[in-house]
Amino acid sequence: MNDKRREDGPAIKVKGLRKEFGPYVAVKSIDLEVEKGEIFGFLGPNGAGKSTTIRMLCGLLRPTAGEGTVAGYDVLAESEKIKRVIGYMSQHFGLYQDLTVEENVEFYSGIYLGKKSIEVQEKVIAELGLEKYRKFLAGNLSGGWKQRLALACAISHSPRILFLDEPTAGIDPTSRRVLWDFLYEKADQGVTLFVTTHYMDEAEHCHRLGFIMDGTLTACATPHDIKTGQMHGEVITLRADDNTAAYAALKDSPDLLDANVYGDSIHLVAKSAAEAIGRVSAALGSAGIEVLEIKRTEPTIEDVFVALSKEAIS
Amino acid sequence: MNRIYFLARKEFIQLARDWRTLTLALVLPVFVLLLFGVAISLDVKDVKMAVVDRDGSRTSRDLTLEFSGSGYFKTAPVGMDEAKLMLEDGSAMVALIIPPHFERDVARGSSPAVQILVDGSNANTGNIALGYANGIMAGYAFDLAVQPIQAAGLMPEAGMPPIKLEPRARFNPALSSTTFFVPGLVALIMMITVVVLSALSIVKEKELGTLETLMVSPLARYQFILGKLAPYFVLGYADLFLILGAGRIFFGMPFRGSLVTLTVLSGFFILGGLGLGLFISTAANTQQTAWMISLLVTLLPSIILSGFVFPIRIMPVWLRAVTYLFPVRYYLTIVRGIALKGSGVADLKIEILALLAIGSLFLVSSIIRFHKRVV
Repeated sequence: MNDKRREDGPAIKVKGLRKEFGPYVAVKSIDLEVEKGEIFGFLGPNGAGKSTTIRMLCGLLRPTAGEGTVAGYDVLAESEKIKRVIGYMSQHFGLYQDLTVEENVEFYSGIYLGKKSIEVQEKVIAELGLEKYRKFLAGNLSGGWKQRLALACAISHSPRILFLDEPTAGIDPTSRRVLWDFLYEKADQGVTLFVTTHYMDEAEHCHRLGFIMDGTLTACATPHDIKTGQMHGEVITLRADDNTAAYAALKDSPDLLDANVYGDSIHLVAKSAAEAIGRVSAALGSAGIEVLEIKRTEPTIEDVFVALSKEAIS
Repeated sequence: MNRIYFLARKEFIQLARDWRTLTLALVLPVFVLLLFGVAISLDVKDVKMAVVDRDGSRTSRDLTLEFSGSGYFKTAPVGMDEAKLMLEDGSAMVALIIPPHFERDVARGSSPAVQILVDGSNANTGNIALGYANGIMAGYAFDLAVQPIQAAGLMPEAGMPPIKLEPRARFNPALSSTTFFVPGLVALIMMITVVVLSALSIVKEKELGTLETLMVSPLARYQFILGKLAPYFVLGYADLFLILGAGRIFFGMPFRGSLVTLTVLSGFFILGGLGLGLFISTAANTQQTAWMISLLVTLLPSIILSGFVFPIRIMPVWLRAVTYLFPVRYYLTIVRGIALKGSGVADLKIEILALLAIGSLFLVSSIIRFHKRVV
């Protein structure tokens, strides 16, 4: 395969990817195709196999079985070539706390680009607005700025695919916004983004989502298709004067498939929303709980996520 | 090449900011040297000696003077009971008991027995003190035998001891333990610095998660190893010159051989140590574990199995065989040979070959073990 075809083909294309750690199977069998310039959200509960999958795609872990290409290079035979053209930013990205912002960028761009890195260092520092902190030790930065620096280090070599493993875990909303704006910009420039996250609003903004449960990819579609096609049941949003009491009264109700508290409302899942609304209202009324609002709503990504997770457990 | 430069530079910056590690690597060695040189000296000097003179003659006083005049013993005239007490409470290490009629028996030529009691609880010093005491006695006996003949204007003849045995240690005439310890300390400190620090520096990156980030980078295995270990190679050399210099300044340790030869050979030793450090870093996942393993494989062999403290030739055969596995054994012989005896490459070829073989074995096997993939 020549380089031209490599750049035009899908960014990631794997089949039957499997990883065993001794008797434990972390990833059972994953088929996946991610287009160039796509923002692919990879969701799943902790321990479902997200990080293991990312590590296999990055060439950090050798798959037990399966085949495929990342950036056009074979995941089994050409992992070192893959490493040149991808960027990887993990939850705890390897920033050196005892080096300054500038030195971290110099180091990471240096080990990717060698002498040529000098030209890109300034550009990257400016791109992420790190100028005023350049002489600060990375260890003294706040969480949000640390992530910005990590991103600066991860993209200094202009990777074709960027793997982000919970890039926004534990940082404030403003920094999250800045980071995502930056990521969108990169996607527009043709960089493929492979992102894991636990924030459902971030998931909504991905072009496509993959759900991994227990080492298996259980759903893979656009956020819209996920919301409409993956939910076995209809969602009812309920607001009562006492949500805690309402939840306690409904959580084991035989009329409902599931009930979860979301902020000031409760999301109920039922086979038929119309039928359930009547029964639930009656049940709450007899328990002395006033219903402020009850209506059928479109499922959110979070509803689907929770439903899929619970299905996998039961 | 460029990638190695960036990694090594990062490593140097981190090292320069890490004053704890620097102290460990550069101040501690000098401190240990001073400790060995001053406080833990094994030299025998001014050993307290209780003298029970039951003769009280001129001859017995002469003998006592021989001891006090030697510089090795400090004599105190006491009674028999007191001497026993002094040996028991440690205020004397040796007791000299001169029997009654000593002078008369000497004059008659009937070889009176002089008793020397040594506190054996400190076996090393006791042994050395006993050796000195024996030497003094022998010298005195010889003088006694020769003097009357010379006094009569005659030369000693057959039947008399014709030669006075004067054992003299070569290369370290004063048998100064400091001179002997410095080369051992060079080996010990270099081994510990190089192995412990290199192992820790890699395991630290494992702990912080930075190693994973480096693994996803295009940094090749050899580039990682070279860049990562370069600073500790330099540090190993710094320790070598630091200890040799301090040994010379503080204890007047001689350096008779070629510094160039020692520098080159030390490079092999450091490389072997770095290999060992790298090997440990592949086995340990936390800095604590790395510490324990590296201290176990460096400190114990360096002190016990290298000939640093206990001469290898007095070890049981099986233990002697074990010492062949540790490069520090050869390096110690090399440093002692070059510094104290002025030995050249030709005198040390077995040690050099062994050092090379084991050092490269360590390095190569750890490079093979070290992978860029996690599993």
